[in-house]
Amino acid sequence: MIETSNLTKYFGKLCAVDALTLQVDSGEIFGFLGPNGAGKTTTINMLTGLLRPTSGIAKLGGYDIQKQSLQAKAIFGLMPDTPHLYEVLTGRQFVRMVSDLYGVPPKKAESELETLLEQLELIDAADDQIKAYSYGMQKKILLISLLVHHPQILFLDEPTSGLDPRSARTVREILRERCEQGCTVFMTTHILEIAERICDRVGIISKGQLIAVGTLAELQQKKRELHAQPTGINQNQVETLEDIFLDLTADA
Amino acid sequence: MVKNIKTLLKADWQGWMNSLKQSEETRRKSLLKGIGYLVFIAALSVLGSSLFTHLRLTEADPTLMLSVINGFMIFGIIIVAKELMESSLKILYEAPETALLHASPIQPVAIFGYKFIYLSITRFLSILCFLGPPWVAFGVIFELPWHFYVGLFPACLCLLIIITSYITISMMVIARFFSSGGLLTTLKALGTVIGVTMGFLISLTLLIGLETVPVEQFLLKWASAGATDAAATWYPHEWMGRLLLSWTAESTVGIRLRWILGGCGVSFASVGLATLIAQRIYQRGWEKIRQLKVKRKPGRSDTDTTPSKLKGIALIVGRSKIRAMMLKDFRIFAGHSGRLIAIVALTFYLVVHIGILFVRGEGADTNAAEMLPVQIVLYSILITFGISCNGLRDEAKTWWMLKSAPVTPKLVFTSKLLTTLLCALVYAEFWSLIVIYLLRIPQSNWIPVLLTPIITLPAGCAVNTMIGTLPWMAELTHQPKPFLRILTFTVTLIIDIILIMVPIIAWYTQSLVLFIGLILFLACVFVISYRWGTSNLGKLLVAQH
Repeated sequence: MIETSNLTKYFGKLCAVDALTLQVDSGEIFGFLGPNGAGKTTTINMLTGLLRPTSGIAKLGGYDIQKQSLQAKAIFGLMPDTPHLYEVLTGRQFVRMVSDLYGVPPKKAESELETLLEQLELIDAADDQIKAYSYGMQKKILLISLLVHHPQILFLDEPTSGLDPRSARTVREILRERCEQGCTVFMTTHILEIAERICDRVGIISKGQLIAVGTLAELQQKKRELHAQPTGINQNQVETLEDIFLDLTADA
Repeated sequence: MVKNIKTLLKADWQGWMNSLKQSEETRRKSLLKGIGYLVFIAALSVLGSSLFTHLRLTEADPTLMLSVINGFMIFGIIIVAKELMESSLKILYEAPETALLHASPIQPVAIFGYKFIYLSITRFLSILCFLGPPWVAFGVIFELPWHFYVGLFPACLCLLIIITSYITISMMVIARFFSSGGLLTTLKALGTVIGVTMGFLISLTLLIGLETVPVEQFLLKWASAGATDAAATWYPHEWMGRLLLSWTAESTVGIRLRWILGGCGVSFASVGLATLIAQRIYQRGWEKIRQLKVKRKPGRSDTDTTPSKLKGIALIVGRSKIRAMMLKDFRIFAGHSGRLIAIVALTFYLVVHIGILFVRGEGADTNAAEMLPVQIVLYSILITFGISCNGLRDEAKTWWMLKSAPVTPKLVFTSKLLTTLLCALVYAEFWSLIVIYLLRIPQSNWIPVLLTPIITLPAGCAVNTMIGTLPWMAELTHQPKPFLRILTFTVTLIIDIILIMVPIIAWYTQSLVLFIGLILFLACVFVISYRWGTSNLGKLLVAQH
């Protein structure tokens, strides 16, 4: 569903993303992890057509984001880390605008909107202007606007930051449900517990390079291979994603 | 307390210096502000020189002289008070860092003190610019000694402190006891209306050189009418006027000292009063305003899920991409209070103009009435500048959404163009009908009056929308270029005026060939603007390097 080949981005002399080659399958939740400044957001920006890569190709659902941008854009939804929304619109108006842009039939959009507003506990604030929303509420309304048009791919940059625990759990459940319906989720997060709990596979990027990719078990295996002669590490200890992440990005 | 105030002021100073050193935008803004002040200084100097020369040559009565001076003082004070009203509301209550300050172990009165000093410092240049030029003109024409000019600075400072105290006291009382969303919006709107009106009035001074416009006589007449107001002697600007007038030859040191002490005394007293009031109500008022900002409407009931008032329209036009985009454009435009106030101000001028013609009973055959359709179309274009020329700029922060959405440049451009055109057409046709009815325009002239907007607005709106897509106007990918923006606005306005004037001229020449040629010309302008605009948008909607 998501396919990149040697995706590279230079900012002047700085290589933000270095020859990223990656494949994410349909219905998969892919966690894209990395330290601050590793290149996560740059990657998402290139994948979503906000930033032109210096070289390489990115394909979404078989569409080249550079050459067939309109077709590619029609199948994904993007939630950036800092959502700047149309603050003068009310939450409801905003979601309607987005659903119209994506050609969702009005009746379907309305029923979907109400369900999601209920689920994410935003029903009482749905008719307030977005400028009165807190950061978490803005993220929720943006997520609702994305889910309403049932995208095939969801790009989520820190989707649960700013959300209360109940909402964070609801978001996780919704994402899992959508993935079962075939939606692909590409998400970044710094909360490794969340990644560990919901991601099918994770990729770890450091200094622009993809240093590891796979399921948790595969990463654990990789780490064991890296530390063939461990010093002071208990081989029987179950390693968490946090341990693996810290170990792999130790020099970042 | 003093230490805290000093620390906060130092931090502000450092912040300002940093942004001046590092931010090109701040430097540009400061430069533009400086140019704006220079324009005001020039206009007020011209007006002051003209009036004082006239008064000296005619050996005018001192009471009239004082009234003229008071007129200048009132003008300057209104502008400074307007600026203070806006900035005190913003700085005392809305500045984001205020929450941090209130959460720190700093007394609320110290926070107020710091903000009071900050307000006074930042407005000192304004008061010098708005009050200084007429006084300098006065001093030059009446050949006053050098210390008169030196005395101007402390006099302006005293006056500024008094005004700042009055304004901040009023704001604190409003915030504490009468705060409501509506009142705050009204205060902001009042500030904008005063600004627009004063700008309009000052622009009249540019006409003072023209013999046909009796601005000078009008002002003198107005001043002589107000010369007998005894209560005015209690106003601070009157004291300042008398203090500065005491520099004229016949005043004694005692008189000067009296006014100096009076001015200083009132300044200290007003600051003391403001501080005392701040101690009692400032923090509570800030809390109330803060609550007001986070307060939201009560939630709807589950059953009340009707889409909106626009449901009816939605049913007619369906729910398409273009409708969604147009609604969004219109809501962004309508959500901008400053632009709504500009519409009200322009409409007010239009109403005044129509009213004058109506009261005078001037028919459609007069020049003034013939120019009304042009004025209406021009205003309809001006009020929609917010969608056409500034529409994309308003979307800078949310541009990522359109870039990542399946929308084409054609769709974005068409949506802005149609929204602009609809708003402009409705406005223009409505006022054209009013003009036809009130001024009893003969039936033979109905067609040009009603047709002018229909013929000219599509091309005019297309040009303006295309201008809005130029990189330095949209400011989506480029750094702000204020000079280029102003220049572009000026050129756009000239093009718009030409586009509006052409059909009127063609109509009165009564040449069919010219008329058809004109229609073709406007069609070409429309097509070129449309293509150029969509091409520009195509570059803005793709991924950036």
